[in-house]
Amino acid sequence: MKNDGGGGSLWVMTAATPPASLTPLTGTAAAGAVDAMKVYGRGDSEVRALDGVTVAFEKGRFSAIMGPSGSGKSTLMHCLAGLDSLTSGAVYIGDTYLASLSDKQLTELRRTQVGFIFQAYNLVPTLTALENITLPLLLGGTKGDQQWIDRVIDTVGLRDRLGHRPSELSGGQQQRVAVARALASQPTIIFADEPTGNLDSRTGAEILTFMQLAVRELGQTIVMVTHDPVAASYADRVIFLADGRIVDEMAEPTAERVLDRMKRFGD
Amino acid sequence: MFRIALKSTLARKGRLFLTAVAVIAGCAFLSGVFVFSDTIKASFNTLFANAYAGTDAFVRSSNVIEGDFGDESRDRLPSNIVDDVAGLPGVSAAYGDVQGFARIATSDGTVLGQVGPPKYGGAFIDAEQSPWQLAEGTAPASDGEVVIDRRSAKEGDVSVGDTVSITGAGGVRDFTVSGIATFAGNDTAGGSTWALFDLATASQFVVGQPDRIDSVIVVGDGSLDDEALATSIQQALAGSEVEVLTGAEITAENQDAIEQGLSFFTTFLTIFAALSLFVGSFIIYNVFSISAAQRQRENALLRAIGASRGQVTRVLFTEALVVGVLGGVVGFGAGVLLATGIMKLLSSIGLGPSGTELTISPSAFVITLVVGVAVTLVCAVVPAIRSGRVPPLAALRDVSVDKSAVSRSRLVTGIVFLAIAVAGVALGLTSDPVWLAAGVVGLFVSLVVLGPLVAAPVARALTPALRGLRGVTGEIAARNAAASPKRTALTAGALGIGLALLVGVSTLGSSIKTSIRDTIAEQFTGDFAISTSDAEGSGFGGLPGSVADELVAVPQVDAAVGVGINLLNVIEDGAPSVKRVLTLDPTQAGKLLDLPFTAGGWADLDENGILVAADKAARDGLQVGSTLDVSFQDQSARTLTVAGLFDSDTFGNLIVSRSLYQGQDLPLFDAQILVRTADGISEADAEAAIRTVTDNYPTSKVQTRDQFIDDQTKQVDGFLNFIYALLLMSVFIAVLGIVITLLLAVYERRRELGLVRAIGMTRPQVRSSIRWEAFVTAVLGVVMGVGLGVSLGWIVVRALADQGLDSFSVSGLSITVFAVLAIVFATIAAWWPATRAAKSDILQAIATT
Repeated sequence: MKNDGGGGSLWVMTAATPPASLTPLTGTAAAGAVDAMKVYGRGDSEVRALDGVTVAFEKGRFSAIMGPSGSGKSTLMHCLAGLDSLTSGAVYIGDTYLASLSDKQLTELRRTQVGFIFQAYNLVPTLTALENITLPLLLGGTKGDQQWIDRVIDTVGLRDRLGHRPSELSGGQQQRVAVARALASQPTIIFADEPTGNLDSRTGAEILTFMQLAVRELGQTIVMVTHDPVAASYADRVIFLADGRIVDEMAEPTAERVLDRMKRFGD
Repeated sequence: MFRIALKSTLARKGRLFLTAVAVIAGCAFLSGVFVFSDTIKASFNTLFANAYAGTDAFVRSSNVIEGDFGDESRDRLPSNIVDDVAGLPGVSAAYGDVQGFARIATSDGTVLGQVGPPKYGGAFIDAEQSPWQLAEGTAPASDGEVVIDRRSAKEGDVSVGDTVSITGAGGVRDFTVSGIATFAGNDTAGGSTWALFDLATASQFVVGQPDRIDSVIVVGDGSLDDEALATSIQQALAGSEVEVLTGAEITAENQDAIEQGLSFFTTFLTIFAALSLFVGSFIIYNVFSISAAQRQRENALLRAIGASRGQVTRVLFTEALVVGVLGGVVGFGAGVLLATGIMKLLSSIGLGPSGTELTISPSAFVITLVVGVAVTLVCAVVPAIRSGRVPPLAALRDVSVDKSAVSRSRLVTGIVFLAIAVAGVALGLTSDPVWLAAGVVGLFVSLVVLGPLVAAPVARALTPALRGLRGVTGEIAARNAAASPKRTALTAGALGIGLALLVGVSTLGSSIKTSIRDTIAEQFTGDFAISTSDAEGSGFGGLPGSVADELVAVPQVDAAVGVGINLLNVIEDGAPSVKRVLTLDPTQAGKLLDLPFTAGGWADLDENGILVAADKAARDGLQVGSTLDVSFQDQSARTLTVAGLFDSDTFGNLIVSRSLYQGQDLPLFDAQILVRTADGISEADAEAAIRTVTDNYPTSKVQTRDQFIDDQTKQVDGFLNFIYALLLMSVFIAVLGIVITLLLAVYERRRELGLVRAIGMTRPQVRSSIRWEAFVTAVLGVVMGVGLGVSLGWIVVRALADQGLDSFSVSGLSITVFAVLAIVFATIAAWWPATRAAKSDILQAIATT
């Protein structure tokens, strides 16, 4: 681990800085947020899902975002991925600030620079495994890098299942297809939302290992939202969120340390 | 439970609305037909009530002349009967009346009136009891004056004192307009044009029989009631062949006649309304099936917490009831609007009674509501039972899409029905036509049963094309269509049936046209045909017989034959029966009509001869040399000898020489004049020469042979277009069905749509995928519809083969037009679900809970 908490990769901004001034700083980060605020409702019913979050995710690393229910971890991920918009502040992917993008440009960005792995309902039921894997490429009208796709398919071990429909695959196999799809376009960053939430622990471990492999051997960048300490222990670094703020960070996590930290949220 | 069901139904207003739309559309057509025909009926009732409002008794001949085709005419009365009646006790006044054909043209030759309503001539009765009252000017005072209806006056910008040219039985004559009249306050009666003369002129000019009238209108002096008045006149006229009716009786008789005439029309329209409900029922069934599938978890939850099967089934039935009632009521309202629109349209083009208020009868509402609810409930039976069968465990599974695969038993059932269809058709064509009904029903059922089996392969076959055309969005569209074959097939099936009817009708029409074309081409060897828009069947208008004679005298003309349609009493089995006969000049006909004679020929036909169709001759046991006793309207009798037999369906059953009518005071009209150009004369020269004669007859239309043949087939086109317009409603409902199904599919696939949006599908791509899915569904519908439609057309044409329909012809052009239109409309109509899909909220779609 090059960076520990409070170091260079995690900036703490004191004010809402205009995005343009940050451009040079995005060089080492795959994605990040600057003073991100997300407020639902008004007046008494106002809920601050994100309350001034500033964070950056380095290239080539596997990060986990943890926190109790309602801590804002899913909202943060959705905003980072361009699926949702901030009330104020800024998010960027690579060297692009998302706020300035139209829906069309955002879609394009998600297709080319972002990969997704959701908890469930990851695949289009009418398409085969291979078609699902290459769907983002097909949508963009490109073939992609065939060598890379072959490598991804071999890494997740799906070579003999490519012609199957999702309904003919097990839950673990479906998630492997989802991982392969996220990797297929060599995105800048991959977001995973509770990717093992619907799987038994053995299959979950398998998927997490693939994700680890993708980072360590294929050089990808993954940000994973989870509430499972065991899942978080596969990451290089864990960020803890509570009440819409970053409250802690941990490098080289183990399941025990993460669990201990999580227990303190109850205090 | 009922309250839960009602709540759940009302909570999903969108779905409720979608389901109701198909019911609404079907009911609207049905109630539109009811309201429209009720209104027309009521306006005619008012018309006749007005017409006879001042009539206390009505005298006419008791001699009824029954026609072959249900058409009925009456003998005329001598005009001196008016004075006889006027002198009877209890009678304050008696007026003679005449009714016949009269066409009004302005001084510049423009003919007044529209195609459709008749052009009447009659006597102007200058009395306060007459429905016709002068709006301007005076009553006709001499045989050179006429009163015309105000509608015609407005149309032709005719004022009192202007000259109009009128064609009647007495030829073409100029009259001075002495007055302009209204009918019971309306510009005209029944949309017709009316030329009203003094009685003597009317007899002579309109019916061509001086001193003969049609009826006497009697006004009582109040000393007797109508019944007693009629009885006393009847007694006073005992001995002469008259019949006396009260004013109420003659009103009721006319109203009944109109009602009968309309009931055919109403039945005809109701059949089409039923067809669109039938097509709509596919949609209703589909919507309930999808809605039941989408609610599988909800139903399973109800079952898990203790609801019985019956209760779950009843929830869906309750929904169906609500949808049916809503659809029936709203549909009835829409139908009233539809009828209002049609009435407005009709009155704006001058047809139909103006200022008529809609007649909305309670029975129309009740029938519409009952039909709407019944159709909806029937459609809900299977989905409701199926939703009751959901196992409680399904509550725990995340499945909602109806993916039930197509089964082997479906294939077997489909083939059985197809076999029934083939057997029915084969039996129907060879023996009793009743079997055809079984055949056609079998065809429809097998379409419904086999549809899902065809749906997936067709969608799959389209996949590579769509992939090539639209890339992955096209592919996803085709895959989605193939994923739920039953649903796709039902949606497409609705469109297929609508199209099948269109294609079937077009095939029938095209075959009829080809038959007509072939027959005319074979039998008419002349070069020109002259027709008139005034020919109205049996001797009622047309071109005066003198026109053909004038044409024969033109040097550029080799031969000209006038063909008239007249009535002749033929004594069959001792009783006279009125037949339509063609009258023509056989010496001219021989030069340009190549009638396929099986015995005898034109040369054998003289004024004592008659030509008989071979099949009629075979029925009646007639052959060349047999005799037929006939009589004319003036009761004079003749005996005709069969001079030849012909095998053609174009010329009716009987042909006589026009010289047969010489000496009758019946003027001969020709419906058509066929002309053959003399050798060596160019078409242009011949036409110019013909026009020097026909230009004196403003409505005559000179056509070359090709134009004439085209024109004959155009009559079929007019009828076809009318049927197409009625069938369009079914196609409209079917396209609506595609939209509804897709909207429900979009709702069902909202998670999938959110997913593909998240991983980079643009909004236009989402829209395009939905539109192409509509395209695939429509193509499937077209495949089914064209196949079924051509089969239906073939069956009907074959069944009618002995009616002279000897050609089977498929109109590739109209089928292509229907197919392209259906696909284009379906694709365009899909913009709504497509926009919905493109708007799907990604976050909501991918939310785990």
